[in-house]
Amino acid sequence: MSSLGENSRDLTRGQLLVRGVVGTGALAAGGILVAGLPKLAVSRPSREQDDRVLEWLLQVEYLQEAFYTDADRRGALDGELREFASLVAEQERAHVAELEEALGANKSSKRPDFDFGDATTNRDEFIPAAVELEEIAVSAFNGKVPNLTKPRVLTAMKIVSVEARHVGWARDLAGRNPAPQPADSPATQDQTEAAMKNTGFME
Amino acid sequence: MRHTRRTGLGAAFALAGLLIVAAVAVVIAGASSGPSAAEPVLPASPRSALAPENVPLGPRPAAYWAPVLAATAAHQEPAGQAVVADVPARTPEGTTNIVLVLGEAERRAGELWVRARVPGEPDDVRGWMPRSALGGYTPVHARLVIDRKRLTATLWRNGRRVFRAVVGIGAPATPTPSGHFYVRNQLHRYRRPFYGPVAFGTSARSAEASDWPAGGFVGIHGTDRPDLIPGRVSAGCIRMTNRDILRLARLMPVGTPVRVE
Amino acid sequence: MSDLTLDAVDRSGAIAEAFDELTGGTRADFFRKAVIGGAALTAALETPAAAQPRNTAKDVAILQFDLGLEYLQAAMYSEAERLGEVSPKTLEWSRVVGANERGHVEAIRGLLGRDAVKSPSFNFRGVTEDDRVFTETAVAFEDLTAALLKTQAVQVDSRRVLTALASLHSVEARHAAWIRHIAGIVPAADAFDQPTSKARVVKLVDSTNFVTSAPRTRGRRQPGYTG
Repeated sequence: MSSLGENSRDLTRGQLLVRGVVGTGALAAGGILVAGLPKLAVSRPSREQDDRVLEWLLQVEYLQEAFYTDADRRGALDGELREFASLVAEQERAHVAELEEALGANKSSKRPDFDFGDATTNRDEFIPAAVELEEIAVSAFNGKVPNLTKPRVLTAMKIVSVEARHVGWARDLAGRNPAPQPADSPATQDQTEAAMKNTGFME
Repeated sequence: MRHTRRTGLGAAFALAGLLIVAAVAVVIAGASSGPSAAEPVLPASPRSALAPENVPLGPRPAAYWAPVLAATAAHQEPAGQAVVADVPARTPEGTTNIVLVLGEAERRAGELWVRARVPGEPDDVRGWMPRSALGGYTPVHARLVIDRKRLTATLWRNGRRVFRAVVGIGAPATPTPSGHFYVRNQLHRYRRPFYGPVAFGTSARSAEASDWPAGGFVGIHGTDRPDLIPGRVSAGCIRMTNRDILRLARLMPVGTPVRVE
Repeated sequence: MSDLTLDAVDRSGAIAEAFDELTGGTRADFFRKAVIGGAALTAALETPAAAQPRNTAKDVAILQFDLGLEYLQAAMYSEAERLGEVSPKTLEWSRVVGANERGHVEAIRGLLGRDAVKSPSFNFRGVTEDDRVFTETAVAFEDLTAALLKTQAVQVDSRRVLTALASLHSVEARHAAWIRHIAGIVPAADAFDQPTSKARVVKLVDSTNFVTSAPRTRGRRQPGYTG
C-alpha cells in the first residue's frame, strides 16, 4: 500500500493512504484547489491531534506576546496606544501560559526570535502591525477550532474571542471598520504561515 | 491580512459544497512551502459554511414599518397642530394598522416624533407622529411595482426580480390609482372566490369609492375570473390568477412598498 | 495530469468515511466516482442548499435559539439607525453592525433551511432612542452573544455547524469591543472570555421586555376592498 518515511505515525490513515497511492505531482487546478493544495480533512479530533494544533497556535501567540511585550517594555507609545499595548501584552502572556500549560510535557517548540524594528515604538507602524497580527490570530484560531476535541474547543474559543476584541479595538484605533465582514474566514495552516512571514517580524 | 478567495466558483458554492471541497480535495505529496519536513502536518481547516463570500452584508431594507399602538394622527410638523391624516389603530379589516416609518426623528418638549408614510389622497402622505404611538420597526426587503400600461406586477427583493405576473387593474371608470403605497394587511381563509384564496390590503384608496363602507381601499388579490387577466376590468383592485397570488403571498410581507405606475 | 477517481485512491475507505462524517453520507457514492479536479467534480460542488446534510435535532435547537437572538440584535440596531437619535459614533456602529446582524439572520436561516423560525415582534421601548441606554444595552447583548456561542460551540453535534458558529463568534466579539470602545469602557476586560448559558441569555432578553406579541396584520374577515 504505502511506503512512507517520516511522520507516518502522525498522519491519519487517510493521509497515509493518499500519499502512498498517489505519489508526488500536482493536480492542475480546476478552479477548486487553491495554490498550495489544501490538505485532506480526514482527521477526527483526538488528544494527540489537539497537542499538534495547540503547538501550532502557540506559535501564533508567541509572535503576538513578543510584539506587545516589546512595545510595552520600550515604552515609546503614549496615550491610549500605551494602555492598549500594555493590557494586550498582559493578555497575550496569559494566552501563552494557558497553551503551554495545556501542552505540558508535550510542548516541543520553543519561543522563536523576532525582530520588530520600529513597529513597537513608532505609532504609525504599531497600529497597522497590531491589526495585522490580530487578524492572523483570529483567522488561525478559527481555522483550527473545529479540529479540536470539545474541551480544547472551549479553550480556543475563550482565547480567540479576546483576540477578536483586540482586533476590533486596534481597527477602531486605526480608523478602520472593526467588523468589515459579517463572518470571519478560517485560515489554513499555509495561509497563516505566509501571513506571519509577511509581517517581516520572523527571523 | 488578505485571505485567499475561492477562485472559479465564487458565489455558486452552496454551504455543503464548501465542506465537500475540503473533504474531497486530495493532498498530493511534495514539499510543502510551510513547516519543515520534521514538523507534523496539521489537520486541514474545514471551510466555513459562513465564509465572508457566502454571507453578504445584510441588505439595506427597502422600507421599515411599525404597528400603530394607539389611534393617533399624522401632523404637518412634529408636535404641530395641522393634521395631514388620521391614523386609526385598526384597519377596516380588523387588523392592526401599520405605517411606513421614514428616517427622520425629532424631539419636541422631551417627546420623540417620527416621520411616517400613511394612507392619503391621491397616494400616501407623510406626516409626523409621536414615537410612542408606534411599536418596534420591522424592515422589509421587497418592493412591488405595478405597471398599468403593461399590466404587470413585479416584486423586487434586494435588487433582484423574484416575481412577475400579469394583472387585471381598474376599469377606465374606476381606475387603480397611481403613486406610492404599501401593503397593510393580508387576509386568508375567508370564502369569497371573487377575491381568490389570499387578499392583500394596501394604503391605496380608489377615488371613486371613497364612500365605500370599508373605506374604498385597493386590494391585491386572486380571482374567479382568470379569463379577464390581463385586463382593465376591476373597481380599482389589482387582480392576478390564484396561482400567482399564492406565489406572491410566499414572497411579499406586509409593509412592502407598492409603486403603481 | 492524470485522472484520478476517489475510488481508486480511497482503497480502505478512510477518505469516504471521513467524508461521510463531514457530510452525513449523502454524497459519498457520487464522489467515489467523481474525477478529482475534473469538471464533474466542479459541477458537483455547486450543491443546492437542499442537498446539504440534515442538522441533528440538537443543532436545530441551537441554531434556532441563535436565530432568535440575531433577529433581536438586527431589529434593535436597525431601528436605532432608522431613528438616528443616538450619537454619530453609535449611529455608525448601528449601521455597520446592523448590516452584519442582518447578514447573520440570513446566514443562520440558510443553515436551518426548513427549520428556520420567524422573527418575533419587538418593541424596544425607547432604548433605541437614547444613546447611553442603547450603548449599554448593545454592550450587554454583544458580550452575551459571544459568550453564548462558546457554550454552543462545545454542544453542537456537527463540525460543519461548529465552523459556521466560530466564524460568527469572532465577529460578535469585534462588535463587542467596538461598542465598548465607543462607550468608553475597556474593549477587552479579561484575557479569557467566559461562556454563558442559554438560561442567562433568556433572562437578559426577558428583563428587557423587548419581545412583544405580534401585531395582527393578518385576518380572516371577508375582504372589503373595492374589488
